[in-house]
Amino acid sequence: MVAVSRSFAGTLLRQYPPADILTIRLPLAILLALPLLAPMLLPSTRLLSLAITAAIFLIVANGLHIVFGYTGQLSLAHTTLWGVGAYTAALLAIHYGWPTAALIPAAGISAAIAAVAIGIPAFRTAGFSFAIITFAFAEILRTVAINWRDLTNGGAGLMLRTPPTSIGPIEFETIRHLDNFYYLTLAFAYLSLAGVFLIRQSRLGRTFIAIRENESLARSLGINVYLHKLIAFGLSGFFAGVAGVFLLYNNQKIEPGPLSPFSAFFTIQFLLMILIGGRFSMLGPTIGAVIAVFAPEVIRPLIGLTPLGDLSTARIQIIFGSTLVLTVLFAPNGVAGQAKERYGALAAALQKFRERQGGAAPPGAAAGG
Amino acid sequence: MSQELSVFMQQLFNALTISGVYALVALGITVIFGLTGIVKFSIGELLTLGAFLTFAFWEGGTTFFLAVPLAAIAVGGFSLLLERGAFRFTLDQPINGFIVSLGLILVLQNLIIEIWGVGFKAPIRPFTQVWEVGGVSMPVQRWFVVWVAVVIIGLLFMVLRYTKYGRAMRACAEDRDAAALMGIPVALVIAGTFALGGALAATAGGLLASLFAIQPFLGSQYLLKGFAVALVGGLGNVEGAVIAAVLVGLTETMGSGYLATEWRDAYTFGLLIAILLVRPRGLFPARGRLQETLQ
Amino acid sequence: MLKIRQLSSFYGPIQALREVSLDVDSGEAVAVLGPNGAGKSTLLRTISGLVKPRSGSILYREHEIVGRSTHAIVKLGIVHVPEGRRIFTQMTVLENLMMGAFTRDNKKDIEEHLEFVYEFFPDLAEKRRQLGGELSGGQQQMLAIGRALMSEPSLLLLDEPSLGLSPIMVEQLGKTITAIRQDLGMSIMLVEQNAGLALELTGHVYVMQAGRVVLSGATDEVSIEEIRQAYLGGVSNS
Ligand SMILES: Nc1ncnc2c1ncn2[C@@H]1O[C@H](COP(=O)(O)OP(=O)(O)OP(=O)(O)O)[C@@H](O)[C@H]1O
Ligand SMILES: [Mg+2]
Repeated sequence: MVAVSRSFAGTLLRQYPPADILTIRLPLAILLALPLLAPMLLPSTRLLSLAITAAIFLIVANGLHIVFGYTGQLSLAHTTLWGVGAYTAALLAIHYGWPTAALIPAAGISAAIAAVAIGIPAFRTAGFSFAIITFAFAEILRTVAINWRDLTNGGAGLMLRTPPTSIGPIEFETIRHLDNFYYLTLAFAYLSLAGVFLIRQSRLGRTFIAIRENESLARSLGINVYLHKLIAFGLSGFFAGVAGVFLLYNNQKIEPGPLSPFSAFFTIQFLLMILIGGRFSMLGPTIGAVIAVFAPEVIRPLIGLTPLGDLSTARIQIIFGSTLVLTVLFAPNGVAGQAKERYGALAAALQKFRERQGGAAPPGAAAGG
Repeated sequence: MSQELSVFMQQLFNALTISGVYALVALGITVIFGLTGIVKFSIGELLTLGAFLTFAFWEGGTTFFLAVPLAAIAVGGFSLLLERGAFRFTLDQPINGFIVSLGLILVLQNLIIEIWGVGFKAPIRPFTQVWEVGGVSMPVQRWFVVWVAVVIIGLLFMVLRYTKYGRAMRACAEDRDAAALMGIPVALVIAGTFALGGALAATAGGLLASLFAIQPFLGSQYLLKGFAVALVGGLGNVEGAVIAAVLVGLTETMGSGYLATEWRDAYTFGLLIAILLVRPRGLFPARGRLQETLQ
Repeated sequence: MLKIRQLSSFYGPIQALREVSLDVDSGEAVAVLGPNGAGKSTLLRTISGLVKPRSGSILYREHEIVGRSTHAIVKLGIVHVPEGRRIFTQMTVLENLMMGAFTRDNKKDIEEHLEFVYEFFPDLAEKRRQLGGELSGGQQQMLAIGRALMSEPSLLLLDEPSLGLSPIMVEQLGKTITAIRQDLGMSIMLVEQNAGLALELTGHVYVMQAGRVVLSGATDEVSIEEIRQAYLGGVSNS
């Protein structure tokens, strides 16, 4: 996965002209490479398992980004698709003994199919109607997961106590291999990031964004809006389904309860991640997922010093929710949007400085993407 | 009365109760949407807040019949503050208002957990009698809920049709700029609508506190049903919301009465999908400039 | 009565008004002409407070009204009949007229105005129980004007009232506007594409082009040819 991250970073860096080496390329490259060192840097297994959670969330959030961020369609069934992937993997592993390497594409495809199946009727509507139809499908799927006991084992869910099967020479058998599981998850997190990046650069991605910006204009340009929405939804489902495999291994089970992907409010949490990270930025979901998982860890000891005292989960949620409200009111483009503005300003200042020095500064100082 | 008929009547009575509650929530959602284009999801949490405040007032010695209006007024005021503090800045971009409401769900739900804990509160039972008519058992408490809902809905309709401010609300819903040109203080009307929506949801919550044990996650379930109702009726259409509430209440109770109970939610949401596929803007689409640009 | 100086308005980055200055005297009717997109509607929207100007001033009877909210401006006596009539289609004719009287509290007063508007527009009296959306285009325009008269404004802003009306209806509209000015003594600012009609009804004309006032003068002093020139390649003024 090092190779993946390097070639990905290469494509990424080509995006930015050399003038930004200090302001953009270097910090970004370091930031993106940092997770590779996590097993060495993070002091406890607990923190490492949080890093695993963050990596899984990141895959899910990147998937949602394709349909919500790029295409502008507010899907409230996204985490349900995540759950669909997890159930698919659990069934194939338990009943048919499929190896992990086969579960990953299978779960992805099954969630993508579910997404398309929901999308075919749902995309006949738009706006809030679409949002609520996806939500209705999510609720129906949850009801199915609870009630189709022969298949899903009802509310108790499916258990998978075995660790991932080895992929090539890499094994995941014992707890000592938590590192390996982390790297496997991380590899797919990087892949998901590369995925949203490549889609953004492609004709497909530009079409998605055209639909988000002005649907009727896109239609008048001859774009098949319905089909492209379906493609976006299918792709997002694929990401979610893949993440389902990791969720399954990480929790050793999948169930349809209130703290599972089948809870409506889990989808809302992912929307929040994207919004806090920045809904118009490629790195938005990544930033959002990392903040959502690690911010409580950072805030907790700090708040411990204040009269607020011990930070319960409820209080963390209150802070998270307030952050979202403030983000929308004061920084509607999220953290990435803010960062871009700051970097843009910094780069512009740098450029001006160079110009004043008489040096021929390369063009295109502000960050794109 | 024959056995079958009395079973049917029983279902009908149950449907009526639940429809009343759904209608109140849906009206709260629909009036706010009608005026602002904002889908205010956090209204579910205002319902929960209404339920817990009702419970708190009642525990503090207030009678239930006073506790509900007190809670409605308090939550209405709170909703007004939220509009002044947050939602009014999102009027140009209703989707941002929707997102703000998602953030508020987290804040409010967890505030309620912080204050009252995650446990259940036993239902308040101001009436304990049960009327038996031909094998149909009708707790007086449920009749009370139905009548309160009917009276509130009736009042709301009268206000909208016959009072100056009600008409101003309808004018704002149809065309905000044109309403402003009539000298209507649109910002004030919108703020008032948020207060009204909050109070309606809180009333629903207060009534629920007399039917079932309440817990902090109460709101999400009713929000979703209320929203489904508002959507089926046509977002922004008050008459549509009431008709749809009865439709959804009937589907749900008849479905779980005659078919399998555990699929209850699936009936509602199946109905929702079916209706929206045929009529994407609901059974009775609201007509206004905002609705036309949004949907 | 209305004194506009150096008014500039924007829609986001787009500048729609560029330092517009303009006067309306008491009891006077003023025409604002100009091609599509010239900024005529924006001018009216800025006066009535629907658009906030970035700079400039609007004095109305010595009051600065820039920065006031629309409903406060209506209370001062400026009523704007917007482009496209914008009547409330889901309300009855009577309810529409009652909305026009929103700033009034005195019941008797409102009744009197209602009678007056019904006299002015007998068609509306006949259809008082019908929904606004069921009226014909001409009747809707009458309703829009009648609704504005309910608050007895001293300055009436009319945005393209003749749009989409039959020639007969346009003629009737002309009579109505004259009557409003002469019999009721209201000042009128009339935005029109129909230059012929506008010049007939008003004493002073302003021509706008790309956000600027490019020509102004007394109606009997400017020639149709000059106005055509001012449109700058703009099509004829029908
Ligand atoms: N809501 C808006 N958002 C952005 N730009 C606008 C908006 N309304 C008008 N504009 C732009 O402002 C300029 C002036 O528009 P305005 O409507 O004032 O012109 P007008 O003279 O009334 O034209 P018409 O004769 O077509 O009514 C135009 O370029 C128009 O595109
Ligand atoms: Mg215009």
